Amino acid sequence: MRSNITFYLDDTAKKYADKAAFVDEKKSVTFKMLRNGALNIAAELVKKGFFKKPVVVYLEKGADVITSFMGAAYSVNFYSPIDVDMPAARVNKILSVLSPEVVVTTKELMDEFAGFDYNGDYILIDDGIYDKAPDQNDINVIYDHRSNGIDTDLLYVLFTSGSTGVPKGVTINHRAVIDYMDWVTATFDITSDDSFGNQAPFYFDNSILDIYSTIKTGATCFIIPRELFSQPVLLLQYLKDNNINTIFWVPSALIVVAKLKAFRNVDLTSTIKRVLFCGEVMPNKQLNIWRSYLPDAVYANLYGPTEITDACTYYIVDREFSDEEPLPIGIEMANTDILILDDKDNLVTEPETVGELCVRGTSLSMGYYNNPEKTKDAFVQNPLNPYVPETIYRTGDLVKYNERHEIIYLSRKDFQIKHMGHRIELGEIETAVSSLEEVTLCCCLYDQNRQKIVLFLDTDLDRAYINERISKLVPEYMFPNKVVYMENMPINANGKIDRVKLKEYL
Amino acid sequence: MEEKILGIIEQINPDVLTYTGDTMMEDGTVDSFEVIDIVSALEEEFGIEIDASYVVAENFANKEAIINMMKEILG
Repeated sequence: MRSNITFYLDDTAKKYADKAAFVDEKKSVTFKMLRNGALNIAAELVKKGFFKKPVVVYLEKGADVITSFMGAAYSVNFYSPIDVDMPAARVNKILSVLSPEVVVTTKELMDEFAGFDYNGDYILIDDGIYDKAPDQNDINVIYDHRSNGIDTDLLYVLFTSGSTGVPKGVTINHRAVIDYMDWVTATFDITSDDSFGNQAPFYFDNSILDIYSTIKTGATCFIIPRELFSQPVLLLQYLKDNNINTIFWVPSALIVVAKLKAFRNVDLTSTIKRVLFCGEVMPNKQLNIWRSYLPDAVYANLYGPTEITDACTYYIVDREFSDEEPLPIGIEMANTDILILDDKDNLVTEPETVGELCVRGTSLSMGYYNNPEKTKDAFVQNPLNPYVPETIYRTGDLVKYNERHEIIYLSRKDFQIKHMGHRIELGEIETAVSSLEEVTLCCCLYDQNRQKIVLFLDTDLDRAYINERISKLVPEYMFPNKVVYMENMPINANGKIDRVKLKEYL
Repeated sequence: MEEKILGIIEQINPDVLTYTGDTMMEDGTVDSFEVIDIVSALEEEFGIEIDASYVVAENFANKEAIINMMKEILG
């Protein structure tokens, strides 16, 4: 029984010492290097006395991020990555939730971080961390430290959009990731011969699959440069050149490739083995293009919010679909139970009856960090179990079974959306826009067909101006794609902005 | 032709018209979906098919780059 994810890295580093583990634009880090680097960071954390504490990782996306994550894990601390492009106001909100005492970063980025509301410690890293392992004495101290941790200690905290403007820190423990990795590697038969093409940012939990499948099996993970995702031919060429056989991307990344018909330029038939996706709805129209060019690949639709460790249901595409049909999100993963509850909390078992998807299992988050109120709302007692305490997570996603007893995603219960793979509370954008002195009323809607965030407001302001002003408050992916000026904002009977009426203007 | 192209761009993302740098794709002034929208609108307007190999950062560096790309395609 393993209490810490780093036991897997110990094994893999022994077995595949000199094999490439994580490859980014600048370097290739082998499993041995990854372990050495992680142990060096862990040694520092242990020396400084950190145990079960948040470790902020503030680095450009690359292999060093993973090394830092593992350093936190070895020392039984938990990591929380902060994107270097995140606006200062949002970073500060995260810092106020997390109250970290240590940040792993570089000398160059430290000055930037010092500009945030933070006065704690730093661990500065460079390529030197990979040169040699800490001495045996230090390693023994780390191992001692590690043996004091248990598998329900936190591994990471990832922040997601919160409707009031305060991001929520989703906590995940070691056990949940070990459980998920067992499922992923067994279901898709992942081995050291495989190589991943990572798209997901490391602050987004889709990356958990890439990171931990690699660490568990000795596969190789190529961290694809972000700018390639809008240059489809270069992107496919990158996959081919690096012999990447497995991708787990957000649908929007797959859609770009399909829409621009880039398969005609690069033949990937003997390269790509598995195409997995998660994070938003994958339209069959685009998936059918992938399937026509790469008919032998395995396609799988994964579904799940961050709160249940990346994914909780899956559907391995096993039949033809017309362009208009929805792709099922499928069935529950092993050791996970899905309850579809109707509005009276009765269990839905019949096809075509709508209910909220709720999850039970080892994969569940321990709650939102330092936020008992929000935790209480989403992590609740299983209404079907009056006998013992048992927590389920209410996703807020409305679903139904089809005739084959596969789950079909329908919509959200609230105003959360998925845009370009990012989970966004429209309320967070509205809160940011409302902070402009010119604005009295505003409302954000998502135009699903055109994949655009549309902002309605009662003041005639142009989009560039709004985006510039809110850039200090919300990340760029939350910027409205379209701004509509409404001289008279429609108001409903409750005195609230009439979203239904506004929808007609989309 | 230039006016038609600029009209299309304005419909999809007016920020491109006022953008003065030359790394529009990298710095996120246009996202990948807007690039697709621009490509499909240009294809429709000019009755052509734009090969995916044209969709690279240098051809979407700024509005002039898009115009130059179209000149090349239309010959």
